[in-house]
Amino acid sequence: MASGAGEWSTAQMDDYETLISTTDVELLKRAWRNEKAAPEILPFEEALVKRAKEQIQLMEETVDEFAESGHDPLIASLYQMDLDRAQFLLRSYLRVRLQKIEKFMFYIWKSDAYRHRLSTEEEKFGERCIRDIGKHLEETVLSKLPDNYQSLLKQSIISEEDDMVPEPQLDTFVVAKCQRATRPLFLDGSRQSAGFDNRDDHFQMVPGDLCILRYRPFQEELMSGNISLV
Amino acid sequence: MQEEGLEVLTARTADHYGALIHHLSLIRNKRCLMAYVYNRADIIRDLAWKVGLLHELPREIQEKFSDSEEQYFKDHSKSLKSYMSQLSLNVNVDMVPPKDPYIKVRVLEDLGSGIILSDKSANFARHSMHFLKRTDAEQYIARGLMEELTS
Repeated sequence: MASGAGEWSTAQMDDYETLISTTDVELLKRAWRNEKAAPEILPFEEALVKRAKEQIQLMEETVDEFAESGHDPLIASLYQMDLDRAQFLLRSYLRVRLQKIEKFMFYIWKSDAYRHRLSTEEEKFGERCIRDIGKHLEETVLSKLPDNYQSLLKQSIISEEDDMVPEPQLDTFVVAKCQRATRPLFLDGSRQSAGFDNRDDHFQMVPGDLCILRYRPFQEELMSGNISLV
Repeated sequence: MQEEGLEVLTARTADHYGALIHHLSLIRNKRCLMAYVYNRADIIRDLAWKVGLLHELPREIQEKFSDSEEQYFKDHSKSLKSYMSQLSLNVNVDMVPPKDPYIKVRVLEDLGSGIILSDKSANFARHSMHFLKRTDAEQYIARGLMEELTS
């Protein structure tokens, strides 16, 4: 891709526009929709976010050039609008992730699988969040309780597991659209056949299907990109 | 011997249940207190997103905070700010999908002159109308200092 300096001909502009609409913006839109609809935090699309930021910067430089060179102001404001919308997508994507981290910070912190889904900056943000809320809760409540009950994560030291940690509700219903053919699965998420051919339990999605289903059995499908949430 | 054993058992059971009730009521109280404080912290985080980070909150809200909550608000704002500066991207603006790059606003409170916006400096006297960039105006609208003119 050419750098931002220099004049852009109309043909190059058109190519650039079509390129942007079939790849990164669409991917970003899909990642944004998935993230908004899913109850848990999804893997961070590092490469996508990086590319989107670079492209937004490119667009900004182009728009600035337009403003300076006195190019047709209507076209300049159209490009400005496109830029704004791309920026909104990126910001909203990051914002939704931050809010999910804020909500489930302890749960994400405890499990390695979830921690790998965060970017490095998000991890640092999560650490600081935990530190802040821990400090706040300790000052107001925990320091005034008797000794055995002062843990942040457990109700008391005789609890077997961390009971005071909120978990994401993986059984909520989501609206899913099928992008690619999936293997048939049972509605409870297991893949092995029951030994007899019971047609009622099988569920297979055809590309283009729009269904409402529980989130938990379809986690894998979402990660592999076979379905996307709406 | 067996009678003594039985007696010891019954004696232990009475205290045992007393201790159990004490423990259960303690953890219930702990849950209630933590839920209260945690929910308030949730609302504070919401405010931080809506109103803007490290900005002065309105008086009615500010006086309802405890000291620890004020500190938490500041800490949380700092964490968000450091995340944004690491990414060099302001995640705080654009809370609503943009329809127009510029919007018309009317100033509701006297903000003084010489406020520097991203592309010019403006004089925000009360009841004056301006044509501002959306990203600039949003933070003022969120704090109720300006209103958007949609007609």
